[in-house]
Amino acid sequence: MLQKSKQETGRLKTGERTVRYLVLLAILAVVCVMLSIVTDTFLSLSTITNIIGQISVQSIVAVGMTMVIITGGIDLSVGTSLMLCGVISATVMTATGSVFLGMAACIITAMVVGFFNGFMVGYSKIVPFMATLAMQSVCKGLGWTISGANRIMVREYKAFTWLGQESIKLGKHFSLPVAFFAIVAVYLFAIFMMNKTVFGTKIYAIGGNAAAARASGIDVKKNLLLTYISAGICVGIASIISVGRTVSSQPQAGTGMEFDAITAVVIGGTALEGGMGGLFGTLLGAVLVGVISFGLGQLSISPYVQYVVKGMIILAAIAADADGYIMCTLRDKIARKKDTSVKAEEQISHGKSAAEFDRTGNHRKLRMEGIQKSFSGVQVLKDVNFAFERGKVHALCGENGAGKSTLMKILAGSYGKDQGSIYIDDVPYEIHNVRDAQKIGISVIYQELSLIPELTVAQNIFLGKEMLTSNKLLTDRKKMNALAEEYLQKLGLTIDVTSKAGTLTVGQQQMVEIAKAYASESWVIVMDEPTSAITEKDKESLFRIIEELKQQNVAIIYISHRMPEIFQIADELTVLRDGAHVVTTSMDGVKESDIVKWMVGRELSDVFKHSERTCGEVVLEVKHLTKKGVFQDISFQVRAGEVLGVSGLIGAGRTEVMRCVFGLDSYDAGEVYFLGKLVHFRRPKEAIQAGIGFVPEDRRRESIIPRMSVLSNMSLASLPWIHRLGVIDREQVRTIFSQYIERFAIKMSSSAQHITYLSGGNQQKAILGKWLARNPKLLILDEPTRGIDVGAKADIYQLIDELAKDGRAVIMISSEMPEILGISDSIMVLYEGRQTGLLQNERTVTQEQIMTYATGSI
Amino acid sequence: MGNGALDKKYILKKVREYSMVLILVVFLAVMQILQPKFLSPANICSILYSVSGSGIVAIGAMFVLITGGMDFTAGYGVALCGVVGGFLYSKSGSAIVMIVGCMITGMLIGLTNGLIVTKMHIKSFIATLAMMFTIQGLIYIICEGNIVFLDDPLSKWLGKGTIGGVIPMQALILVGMTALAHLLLTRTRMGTYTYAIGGNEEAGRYAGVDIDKYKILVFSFAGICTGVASCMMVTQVSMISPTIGSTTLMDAIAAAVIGGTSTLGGKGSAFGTLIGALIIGVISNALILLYVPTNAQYLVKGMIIISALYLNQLMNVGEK
Amino acid sequence: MKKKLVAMMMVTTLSVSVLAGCGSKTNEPSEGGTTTTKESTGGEETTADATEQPAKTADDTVKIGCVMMNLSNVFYVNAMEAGDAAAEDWNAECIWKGADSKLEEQVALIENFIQQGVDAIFVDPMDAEGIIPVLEKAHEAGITCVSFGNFVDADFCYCIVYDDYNNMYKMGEICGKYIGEEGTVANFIGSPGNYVSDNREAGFKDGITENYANINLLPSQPANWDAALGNSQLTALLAANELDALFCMNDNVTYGLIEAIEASGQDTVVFSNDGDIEACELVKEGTIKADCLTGAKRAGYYGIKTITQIVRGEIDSQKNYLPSHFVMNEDMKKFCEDNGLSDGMSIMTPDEAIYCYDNYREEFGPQS
Repeated sequence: MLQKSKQETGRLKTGERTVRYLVLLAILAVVCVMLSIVTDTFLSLSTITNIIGQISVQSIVAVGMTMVIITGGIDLSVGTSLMLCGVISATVMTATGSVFLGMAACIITAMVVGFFNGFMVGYSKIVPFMATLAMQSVCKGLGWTISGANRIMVREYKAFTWLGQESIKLGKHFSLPVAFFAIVAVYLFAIFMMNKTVFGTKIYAIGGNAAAARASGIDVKKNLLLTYISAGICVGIASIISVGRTVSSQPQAGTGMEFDAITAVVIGGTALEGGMGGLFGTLLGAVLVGVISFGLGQLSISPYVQYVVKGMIILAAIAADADGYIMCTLRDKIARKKDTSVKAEEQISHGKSAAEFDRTGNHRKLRMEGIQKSFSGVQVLKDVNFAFERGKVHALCGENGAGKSTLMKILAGSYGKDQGSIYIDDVPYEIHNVRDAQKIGISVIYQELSLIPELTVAQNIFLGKEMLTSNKLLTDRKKMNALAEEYLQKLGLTIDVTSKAGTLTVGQQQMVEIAKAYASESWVIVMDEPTSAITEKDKESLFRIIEELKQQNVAIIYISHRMPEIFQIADELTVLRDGAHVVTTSMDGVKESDIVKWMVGRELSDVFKHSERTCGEVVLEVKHLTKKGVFQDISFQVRAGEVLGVSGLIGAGRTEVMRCVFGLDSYDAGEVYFLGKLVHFRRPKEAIQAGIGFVPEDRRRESIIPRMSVLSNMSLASLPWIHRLGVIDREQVRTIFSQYIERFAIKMSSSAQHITYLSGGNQQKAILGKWLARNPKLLILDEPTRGIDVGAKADIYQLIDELAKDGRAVIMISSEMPEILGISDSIMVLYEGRQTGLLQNERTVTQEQIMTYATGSI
Repeated sequence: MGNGALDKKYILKKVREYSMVLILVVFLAVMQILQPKFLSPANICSILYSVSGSGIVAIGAMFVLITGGMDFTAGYGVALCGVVGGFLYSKSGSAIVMIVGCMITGMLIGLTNGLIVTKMHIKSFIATLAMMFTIQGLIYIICEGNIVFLDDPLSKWLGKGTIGGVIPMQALILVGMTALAHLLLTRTRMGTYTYAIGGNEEAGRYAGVDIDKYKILVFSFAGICTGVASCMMVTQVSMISPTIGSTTLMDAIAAAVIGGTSTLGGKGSAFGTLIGALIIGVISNALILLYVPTNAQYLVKGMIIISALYLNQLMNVGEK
Repeated sequence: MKKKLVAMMMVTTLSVSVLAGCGSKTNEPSEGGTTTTKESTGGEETTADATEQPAKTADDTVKIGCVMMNLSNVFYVNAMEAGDAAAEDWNAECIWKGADSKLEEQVALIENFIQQGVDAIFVDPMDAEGIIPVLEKAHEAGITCVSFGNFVDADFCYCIVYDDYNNMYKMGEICGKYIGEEGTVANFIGSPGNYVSDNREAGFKDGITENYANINLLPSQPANWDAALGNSQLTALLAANELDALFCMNDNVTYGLIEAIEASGQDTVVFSNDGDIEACELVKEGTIKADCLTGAKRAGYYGIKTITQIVRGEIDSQKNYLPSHFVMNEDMKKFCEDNGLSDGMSIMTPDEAIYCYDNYREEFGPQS
C-alpha cells in the first residue's frame, strides 16, 4: 500500500478548519433529518430547549478541556471537580444563606482544583494524565467526605438555581433556557480570548512547541498554571448550572463527564498532541453528541443498542473529519485524476516487481527518467532525469526546496512517484515501498536523524533487518552486538554498542546512521548531508569509508552544501533547481562559482560581506563564567557594531555558554555585564526585556511553532509590547512584521500560512525578523546557516553585516571555518569547556590556526 | 571517565532505574508500622489476588502506551470477555472452552482497535474511547444480565489454587505474563518495533518496518492480556457477571504510568509496570486495613498517588 | 478569500434550514399543551386523585416511560423482563431508559418523555427530593408520575414502595442477635451517593448500632456491585480481622464474598438481600443465614401492573406497598420467633421463595 508519509497529509491551511466545521454541520443536519423522520416528536420547540439544557453542562466543561488539550495536556478531574464545587457551594449557601457566597465558593473551589492541577503539570512536570487522574480521586473523596455522600437541597435559593432551571420568554411562546445564554457567553469570551489575546497565542505556542515558546520569553510554567485555572473556572460555571438543573448538589453528579468532554473536543477537530484546534469546533462537537444522545433517547430501541450506536457515530464523525486520512486520500485521488487524464496513458512504464531483482547480479547503472511528483497540486519534481553507476561518488546539489530529498525518497520508496520510471541496466523496476528498495539494495541516510532513543545502538543499526536465532522467534542479540561493534570499529568509534541511542551526542548519532547504511550491504547508498553535525576527525573516517565503499564498487549519492567536501570526494555532479534538472557533469574542470551559479541561477559575488564598521562601546562583558561539568572560566567581551565568532568542535560548550548568558540555563560562578551593568538573567524574558535576542541552533525543535502562522511566530517574542489590555493589536503586528518580510524577501504564499511549510532559509529569516523587531542591542546566533542553501546563506551573511553596521553587537556560533573567518571581527575558540583562544581577525588568521585551538593542541 | 565518577553516576543511574521499587518498599514499611498485620502471609496473598487482574491489564496497556497510543477498552473489555466466556461455558460446560473463549474475545477487541487505528487513521485515544461505549452496550446484549457459576475443578484451581500452600496460582500467572512481556519487549522484533513506533515512527517507516502490521499486533496482544485478566477475575470469584472489572481501567493505566511508562510513547518496561501494579494494590489494600471511612477512601488514594509521583520526581531530579 | 466567502455562505444556509425545520413545528401543539414558563415554584397543588385527567379505558394501551437508575445492574435487567411481561398482560407499552446513576440524566430523560407525551412516568429516583421539580413539569403536562422503590413526598406522585430501610434494620437486628450481641461485623454496600445503596446501608447500620452497643461494625466497603472487587476487599479484611458476621446488600456480590470466606477458612456468618434464586439455594444449604426477597421480577411486574391500574383510574392509593419476604431455614425462623424478632415479618422457606421469585404472574397476574 502506498505509504502516506506525514509530510503529505500534514498540509493544514487555516482555510481547512472552516471546511471541517462545514462537515460537522452537515453531519448535524443529516442526524437531525434522520431523527425527525424516525420519531415524529423530534422537530419541535421543546427539543431545542431540552437539548440546550442537557448539553449546557458538558459544553461549558468542554471549553476548559479544549484549552487544556491545546497545550498538549488533558484534564480527567473535570467530572469529580464539578461534583466537589456543587457540594461546597451548597454547603456554604445552606450555612450562610447568601447566594452570592455560594456562587463565589463554587468558582473559587474550581479555581483551587485547577491551581493544583496546573501546579503539578506546570511546575512539577508531572504527566497531565496522571496528575489529573490523582486529582479526580482527591475531588471525589473530598466531595463525599464533606457531604457524607448524600445530596444537599438548595431549592429555596432561587437566584442560584435561576441559571439552571428557568427560561426566558422571547417570542409569543418561544422561550430559551437561561443556560443557552450562559453557553453563548462562555464560548464568545473563550473564542475571543483564544484568538485575540496574548494569553491565547501563548497557549497555542506552548502546545505547538514548548521549548520554542520558552526560548521566546513565554513563561511556560505560569501559563500552564493559568490554563488549568481557567479550565477550573469553566467547571465552576458548569457546576452552578448542574446544581441548578437538579435543584440540589448530587454526590454522583459529573460521573463520566471527562469522557463526554474529550469526545466533544476531539470531534470538534482539536488535535490531542496540542497546538491545533478551535473552540467553535468543540461547540459543534458538544451539540452533535447532545443531539445524538437526545435522539437515541427518543427512539424506543433497547438502551444497550444505544451505547453501541453512540460509539459508531463518534467513529463516523471522526472519519468524516476534513483533515482525516480518508478525506485527504479522496482529495489527492481527484487531484491526480485531473493530471493523468491530460498525459497519454503509455507514459507509465510497467516495470518488474522488486522481488524479481537478483541482488547477486553485477549491475552497472541505475537511471531515473521523467520523474514527476506533486503534493496536493504543488509541483515538486518536474520531469527529472538522474543517472549514476557503481563505484562512483555522485554529488547531488541544489537549494533547499529544489527537490533533492523528495527525489531520494522516491528512490528509497518512502514516497510514490506520480510519473516516470526507474531503470537498472535499462530494465524497468517498480519501487512501491521501502522494503522494495531494500530488496533492490538501496539504503538512505536521512538528514533528520532517524534513531530510536530507547533502543540500543545495535538495535538501531539492525532496525528492520534483525538477525533471528535458530528458532526464528527471538532476535540474536549476541551476534548483532558483535557485528555492530565491528562496523563501529571500522568508523573509528568507541561507543558501547549496548548503550541507548538517546544517550549519544548528535555527532555520535550521525556516525551510527552511517554505520547503519554501511551494515546494509546495499550497492546504492544515499547520504543526505552526513557531515552537518560531526567533528573533523569523524569526517576523515567518513571519507575513508566512502573510499573503501568505492573500492567495493558501491554507488554513493552524496548530498551536501559544503563545496570543499564535494570537490574532495565527488566524481560526478548533478544540480537541481526548483524541481527541475539543471546539469549532470563529471567533476573535472568544474569551478565552485559554476556550481553556485547552477544552483542559485544568478551570479553570486563574494559570498561573505564584511564592510567597514566602527566599533562602539562594550555591550556585553563576561568574566570567568563557570558551570560545573560543562564549561569553566570563560571570559570575553563584544562591542557594538562588532561580530564575535565563536568556534570549536561539537560538544565544546559554545551553545551552553550562550544559553547561560540568555537565561535559559543557570550557571555556578562568574559575572555578566550588559551595557556596563552587572546582570544575572534567570529567565529568557528578562534577557529579552534587557535587549538580547537568541536564535537557537535546532530550528525545528527550538525556534519555530510549526502549526502557527508566520506572523504569529514572528510576533511571539514581542507579545508583552504589542497588546493593549491583553488584546493583540493585529494591525500593529501586520505593519511591524511585514516590513521585515519585505526587507528579508521571505517567500511564502500568505502571511497566514503555517511556518512549517516554508523552506529552511525562509524560516530562519522569519526568526531573525522576530528578534529584530525587538530592536535588540545584542543578537546571539547559534549555527544560523545550518541546513540552509547557498542562496539563502548569502542573504543571511549580508543581514548579519547590516546588523553590525546598525551598531548592534552580534555573537555567531558556527562550526564552519570559512564563515567564522569571513564575517567575524574577533574570534573565540573553545575546546571541551575551556577557552583555548581569543584573537582579533586581521585577515591573517588561517583555518589551520583556529583548528589547532579548536582541537586543544595548544 | 575516571572510576570514581563512574560509581557515582552508576549508582545514580541505578537509583533512578529502581526508584519505583524504593517507593514500594517505603510504602510497605510505613504500612507495617501503622498496621502490624499488614505483612502477614494472608494479607500478602490478598494483595497478590487483587493485583493479578489489573496487573495483567496494565501489561497490555503498557504495550499500547509505549507505541504512543492509549487503550480505553481495557476496563469494560474484561467484562465482555468474561460474559462471552460465560456464555460458552454455559453451553459447553468445560472451563477450557471458557478460557479460550475469553482470550479470543480479547484478541478480537484488540484486533478491531488496531484496524480502526491503522486503516481508518483515527487516533487510538478516541478510537478506543468509541469502542469503550460500544463494548458497554455489547456486554448486556450478549448476557442480558444473568450470572453463570463456575464449579469445575480447573477454574477452582486457577482461581484459588496455590503452589506449596502459600504462593497463589494467580500471582505466578501475573509474574509469568510480566516475564513474557519482558521477553517480547527486549528479545523479539515486535518489542523492538513497539519502541520504534513510540520513539520515532517516521524512522521506523524509513527502515522498512511495516508500522501498521505491528500496531495491530500490539493492540491484539493488549486484547489477549484483557482476556487473561478476565479469566483471573472470573475464576477468583468462580462466577461470571457483567459488572466485573469496574475499577480495572484507571488502576491499570495508573500502574503502567507510575511504573515508568511514558504517555508520550517510547519508554516503559514490564518490570516497572509490575511494580506500579503492586503499588496501586498496596494503596487499595491499605485503605481497607487502616479502616479509612468509606467516603474518604478516594481522597486518601488520590493523596497517596500524588505522593508517589512526587517521590518519583525527587529521585529523577538528577536526570534533567 | 473567495473560498472563505463561499464557506461562510454555506454555513449560514445550513443553520437556517435546521432552525427553520425546528421552528415550523412550534405551532403544532405537542401533546399536553405548550410548555409554559414556570412563574411560581410550587406549581398549583392538585389533589391526589388527578380528576381532570381523561381516564383511559381498558382497551387503549398505556404508554409508560421507565427511567431506571442504571441498566447495568442485574436487579434492573430482571425488573425490565418482568415489567415487559406485565405490559403484555395489562395492555401497556414500556420504554426502558437507564440514567448511568446520574440524577441530571434522569431529569433529561424525563424531559424527553414529557415531550414524547407518554401516559405515565415510572422513575427509580437517584434522589427522592431532587427529582420533584421535573416530576412537577411532568404532572403539569398531565402525565401520571409513579416512583419505584422509595417514597417521593410530592402529593401528586404515586409510589410503589418496598421498605428497604426497615427490612435492612430488621436484618441488622437478626444478625446482631445471632452472633450473641458482640464481635466484629463487616458491611458491603453499592456505592456512596446511590440512594438505594445509602438507604439500605443506613438501615443495617442503625439496626446494629441502635441495638447492640459492643458490636464493632467496620466501615462499609463500596463493592460497586462488582463481585471481584468485593472479594478482594473481604480477603484483605479477613487477613487482618476475625470477622463474626457480614452483610451485603445484593446477592450478586455476596457470591464473591462467600468464595473469599471459604478461602480464608474463617466461619463468618453471611446475611444478604435481593432473594435471587441462587441465593435462596445457599440459604437452604445454610451458607447464607438469611436473605430478604423483594425480587426484581416481582417489583417490575407489580410496578407496571399498578401503574396501568392508576392511569385507568381503577385504584388511586398514593402508596402501594410491595410486600417483601425474609427467606430463612426452619432453625433460623425458630431463632427469630424465640427472640421476639419475627413480629410483622413475612418469613418464607427457601423453596417457597424460589417458587415465588419467578411466578410473579401467579401472585399478581390478571386472573388472581
